[in-house]
Amino acid sequence: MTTPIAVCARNLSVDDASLLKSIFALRPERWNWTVSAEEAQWWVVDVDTCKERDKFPNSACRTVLALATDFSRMPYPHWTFIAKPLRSQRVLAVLDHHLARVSAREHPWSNSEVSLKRWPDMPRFKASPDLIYWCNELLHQPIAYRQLLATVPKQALDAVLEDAERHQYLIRRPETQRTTATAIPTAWRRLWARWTL
Amino acid sequence: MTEQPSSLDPRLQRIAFIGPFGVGKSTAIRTVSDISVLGSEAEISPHVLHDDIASGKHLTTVAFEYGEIRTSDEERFALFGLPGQDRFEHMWRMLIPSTIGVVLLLNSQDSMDVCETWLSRLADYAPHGNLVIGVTRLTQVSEAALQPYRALLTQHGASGAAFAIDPRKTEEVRCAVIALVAMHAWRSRRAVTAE
Amino acid sequence: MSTAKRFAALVSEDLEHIRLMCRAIDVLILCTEDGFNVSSSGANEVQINKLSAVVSSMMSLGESAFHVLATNAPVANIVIECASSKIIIERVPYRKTRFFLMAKSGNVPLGVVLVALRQGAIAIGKKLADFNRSSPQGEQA
Repeated sequence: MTTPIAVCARNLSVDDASLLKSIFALRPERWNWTVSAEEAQWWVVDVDTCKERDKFPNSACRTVLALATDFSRMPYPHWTFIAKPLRSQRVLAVLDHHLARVSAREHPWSNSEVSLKRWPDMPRFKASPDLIYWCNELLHQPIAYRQLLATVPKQALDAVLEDAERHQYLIRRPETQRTTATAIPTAWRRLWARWTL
Repeated sequence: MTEQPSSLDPRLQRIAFIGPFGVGKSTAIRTVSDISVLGSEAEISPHVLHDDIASGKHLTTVAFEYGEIRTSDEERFALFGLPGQDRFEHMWRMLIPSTIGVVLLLNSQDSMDVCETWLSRLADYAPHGNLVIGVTRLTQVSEAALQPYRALLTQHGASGAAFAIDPRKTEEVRCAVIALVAMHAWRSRRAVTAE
Repeated sequence: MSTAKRFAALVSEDLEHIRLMCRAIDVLILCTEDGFNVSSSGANEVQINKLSAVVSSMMSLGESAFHVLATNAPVANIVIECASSKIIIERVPYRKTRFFLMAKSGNVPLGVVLVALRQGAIAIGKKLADFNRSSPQGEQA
């Protein structure tokens, strides 16, 4: 990826901002740290020091990494929670996940919706609670692949769906207007917080 | 299986672990429990006193085992390990209807008749309930190994999952628990929508 | 005759003696710690098997309750009362395999039933010890 990605850090302490920039620099991508929130495609927000939710209009069309001491402080379900104090492994894992979504645009399933005829053997995939949540949903309704990718790591999702396709329990068809997946409920994520952090 | 657990504490939902004697129910609960498991084991009486099959174990559960999972500060799940022998059917009757789901552990070395028997028994206490079959002691985990269990689930009209589980492995037992909670949450949402 | 049947025959007279001592007792069950019936008086086939299992569950739950309260002694007895009946479960004093003796009685003073049951349990415990002394190693209870 040669085009720099514009990132805006909001409400971060000097130390956290410096640490984050160091971690981002470990990636092969080029990052353009900007003070202009409007120009940035990515925001990094310290939720603990924010005062009002409506300071972040149009966050839905961006990748937002939210730093907080507690998951319950997350203002929006589509923001990605990163626990404070910062740990480089966690930040790098989050970057892996979000950057993989970009390459999904060229994935053969990008414009597909999928559903399952039966449960996969979840322990074999070392499935996260979020992935198990979606597998249950997929038993009852088709969901667009790109919507699934917004909430679970691409590698884990593809492993399950490829296994389902190989063993003929995947239903895949072109994406329709009908597929309307909601985000994973915050309550679900909060429920398994201790098992995923 | 009722939608609401009978416990007065709405946050304490129950999950039952059932299965034949020696399949790993106690092990599975101990693997994931966040508290020390309260047991109710008794010495197996000398087999000269009864016609039951002699086994290599010297203890058996005669009431239930109790463990808890604390997934967050507010949420807990109570895990009940129930005895598998027919004579303790009263414990099933007492506990299974109050659970949100059942993990049925089965030994892969046993014939499919054993699975058939268990699914039939379970239907009396939890028809159309949330169920995960955990197949233990698989020498090789494969789709082919799990397929017969899935076929029996379909045959019994039971919706549920079949997983290969090693009761000693935390992540694998957790998968079963999370899957049950997901099934229960979906049923609850559908019940609310239907009202 | 199997060992189980021999032992059952041996203690059946003790059960009858208990019912003579306290005529209000109409059901007696002697069962193992893991819920198998050994001998009975006054109950039918279905009842004795179910009751034996229930008794073992109850005594185990009683010990669990004490365990939660950091007391680890074996439970000596359990008393359950309703308007017109009582059920008492008494542990048979014996060093090795554990047995429980359950009595159901009508509405009589608790002490009357307890005395009869306890004396019966002691007698059965002594018979157990004698039985094992006279039995081959592999056929001991």
